[in-house]
Amino acid sequence: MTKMRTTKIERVRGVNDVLPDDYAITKQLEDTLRQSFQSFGYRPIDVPLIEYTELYLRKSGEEIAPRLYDFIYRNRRLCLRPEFTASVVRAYVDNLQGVPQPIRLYYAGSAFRYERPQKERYRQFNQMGIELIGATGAMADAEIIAIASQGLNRLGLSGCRIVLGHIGVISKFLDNLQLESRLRSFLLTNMEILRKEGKSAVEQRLCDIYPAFALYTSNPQLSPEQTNPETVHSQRLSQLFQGMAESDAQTAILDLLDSMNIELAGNRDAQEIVDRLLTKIKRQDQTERVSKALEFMSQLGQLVGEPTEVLKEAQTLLTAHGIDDAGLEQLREIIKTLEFYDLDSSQISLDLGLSRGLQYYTGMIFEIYHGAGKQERQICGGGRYDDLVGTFGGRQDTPATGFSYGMERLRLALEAEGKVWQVQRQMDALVVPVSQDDAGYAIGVAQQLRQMGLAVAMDLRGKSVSSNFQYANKQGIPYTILVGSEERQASNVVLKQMDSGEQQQLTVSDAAKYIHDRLSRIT
Amino acid sequence: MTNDKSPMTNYQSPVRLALPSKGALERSTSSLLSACGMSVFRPSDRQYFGSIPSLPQINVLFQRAADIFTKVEEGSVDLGITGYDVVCEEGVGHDNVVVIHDRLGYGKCELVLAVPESWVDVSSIEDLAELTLLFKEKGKTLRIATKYPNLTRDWLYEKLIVNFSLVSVQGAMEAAPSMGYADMIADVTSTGTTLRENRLKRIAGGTLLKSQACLIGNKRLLQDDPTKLDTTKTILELIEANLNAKKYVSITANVRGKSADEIGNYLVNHSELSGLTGLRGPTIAKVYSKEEKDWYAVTIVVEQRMLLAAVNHLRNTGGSDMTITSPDYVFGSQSQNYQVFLERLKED
Repeated sequence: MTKMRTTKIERVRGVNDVLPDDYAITKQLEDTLRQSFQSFGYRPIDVPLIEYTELYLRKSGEEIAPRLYDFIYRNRRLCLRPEFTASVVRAYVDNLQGVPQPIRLYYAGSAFRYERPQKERYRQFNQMGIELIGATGAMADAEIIAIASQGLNRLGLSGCRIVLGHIGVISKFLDNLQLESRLRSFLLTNMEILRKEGKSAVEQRLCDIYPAFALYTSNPQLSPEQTNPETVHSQRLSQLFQGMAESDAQTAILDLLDSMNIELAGNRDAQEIVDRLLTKIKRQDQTERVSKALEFMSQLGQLVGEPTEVLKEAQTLLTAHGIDDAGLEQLREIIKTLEFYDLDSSQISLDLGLSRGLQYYTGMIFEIYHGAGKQERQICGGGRYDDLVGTFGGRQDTPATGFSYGMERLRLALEAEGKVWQVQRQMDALVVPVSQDDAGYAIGVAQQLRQMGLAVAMDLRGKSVSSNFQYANKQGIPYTILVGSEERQASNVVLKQMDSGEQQQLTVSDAAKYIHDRLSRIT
Repeated sequence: MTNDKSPMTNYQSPVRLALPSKGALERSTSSLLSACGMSVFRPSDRQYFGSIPSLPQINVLFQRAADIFTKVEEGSVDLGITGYDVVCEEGVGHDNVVVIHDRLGYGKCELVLAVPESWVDVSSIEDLAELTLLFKEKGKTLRIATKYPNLTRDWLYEKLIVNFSLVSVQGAMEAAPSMGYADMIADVTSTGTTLRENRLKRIAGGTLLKSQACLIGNKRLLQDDPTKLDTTKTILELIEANLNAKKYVSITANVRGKSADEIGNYLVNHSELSGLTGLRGPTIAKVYSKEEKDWYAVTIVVEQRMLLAAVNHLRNTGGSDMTITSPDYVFGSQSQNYQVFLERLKED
């Protein structure tokens, strides 16, 4: 009755085909940026598309893990790279530790993140960026920002805003609070949401991963003992154990468990279980610290705008909380150094609430935006990551800094600004054998023309001369070269210029010369 | 209803419905369908094909509950009944399956995290989060055995727990920790007995999913064929009305009064609880009695939990001779689930 439908094979959701015209434009964009990077002495590096998943989990991967293309293949846990920095640093640790520093590298290629497909967000996307390994200080950070900015200038993209921040400010505050690392990383990744959706939105998310907080927020005037029944037990216990020496406490717990007939055998040894139980009993409730952190982060998030003004306000806030101002001092120096690069200082603003998603940053961080309102898009981001080399098993701690452009967004920003890139002509001439017998001679002609530097296509389908003319016109091929028996015998060709319709009989090399001359006059 | 010669058999193509072939899920599915007037005929326990005589356009296939999702997904059947846990686990990345009814009221279980009882230091999800970090510091990975890798991974990621590895195990899940090839498990439980027997315990905040049996369908096949959509609507309406009916009882009482209006007004205006006087209000009809003339029959439909309150209310109004019946179906003006399902079907 109903015929079995042959379904077409769909493109995977969230990824794109790049068709020739698009490809040509992308290539021009990339070449421009390559030249810009190279003018600062950076050299290209290519790293694998697949890595061990561990590479991204090693440094608190809470943020990136859910978005990894993570799979087990033949008992190995692998993933597609979600970005380049981790791979480049791994490659450095693998191969380049002996090379004199600093090392200047740049990269270009696809990265993959499993995200909900939405406007301007793809699961396979292209990044281009640089890493500067082995240099610390404002000079290095300023160089990075200047390169990012110069690349955009070379592309002809104006009206970009550079937003500078420093992850050290917030992380010092969290260090002082001695927050548990999962909560710390939650707070860092939710900085953006705190700002955009307000404190209550973050609190709601927090309740989800940290249930104790729900009780606390619903009834802030209650003391922790009242809100959390477990704290009552643990307080009583902690008082009991605080008076004991560590080893006595351990023995006491082991005895207690033994008398309750709880066997501590299994995959974890008894020592570890008891140690952690003791730590847990003695640990203070974190809710108050979390809400302190949220308060501080809200204040920090408001420090946005013109650098001198923001730095002054930040100084006051940090002094009030007893945090040293090393981070602010670094920002001050970076901004001072940037002046020498002739960067328009009105483009630069500070934002101390900036935290960026990826959590390997340790110092200065920055983002570059283009457009305003609904047209605003982030096209570039980066910062300093002094711990990563050490985390990946480098022989010694090595400072590093870098950035990357999001190529798709860069392209959209250019389009939004009306920067239309010319698609270069793909073909100079079409060679058409008049009959089947002329095909061999035609191939020879085409090959000669190619050797003389022209891009030449052949009619492969034995179509009539007139349909070949049509094809050339539709494809925008400026010249058609006809070869029939007469030309074959005379060892020449008929050259037809498509726009004027003008035809002439020439030798192959004269035809090539003619085309070269005309084309170079046009471009 | 219909027999083989009726025009009903003049359907386009049969709707293929996959049902669980054995176990508790099979029994409960079968009794739900017969309660809904869709008794399933299965020639023998070992037969994989059956039918629903009251809906001859349906071909029934018996499958393992775990396979039913796959059958629906690949389109070798149009509809299926299986556990919601299976649908959530297998459904990751499969946009071609639509959940038509997600609470069939049986096969209830929970997907939970369970750790060895000996982990006296782990009583909540936060303890577990800390433990994964402790493991990471020591260069170990917390191994979780599960048949639900997608659900477990995504749920833990959402809680910002990322340092773990999943061990896939078929069967005897609960034994994995004591056998030593996993540290803990994520598995379904309904009573918790098996967990306890294997010296495992649940932890606070460690419930990943609450599941029960659900009806699913292949999106594309249903989108393309209006007759299949019609049959789906019939099944859904009957199930929905039957499940709804379980919530209600119908009470008929003889009430003495001057007029139907007087009784009606009293009933409506003197009840403290809303809903005591039926879905819309009481139905009152005159009783033709030989001896006395002022008797009326009052019928109300109330929620099961209000039964005694409603009876007392009727007594206060002067009611006696109360009979209570359970309705087989309660239909609304339109099927709510069907509207929701149509929306889901349109989603891409």
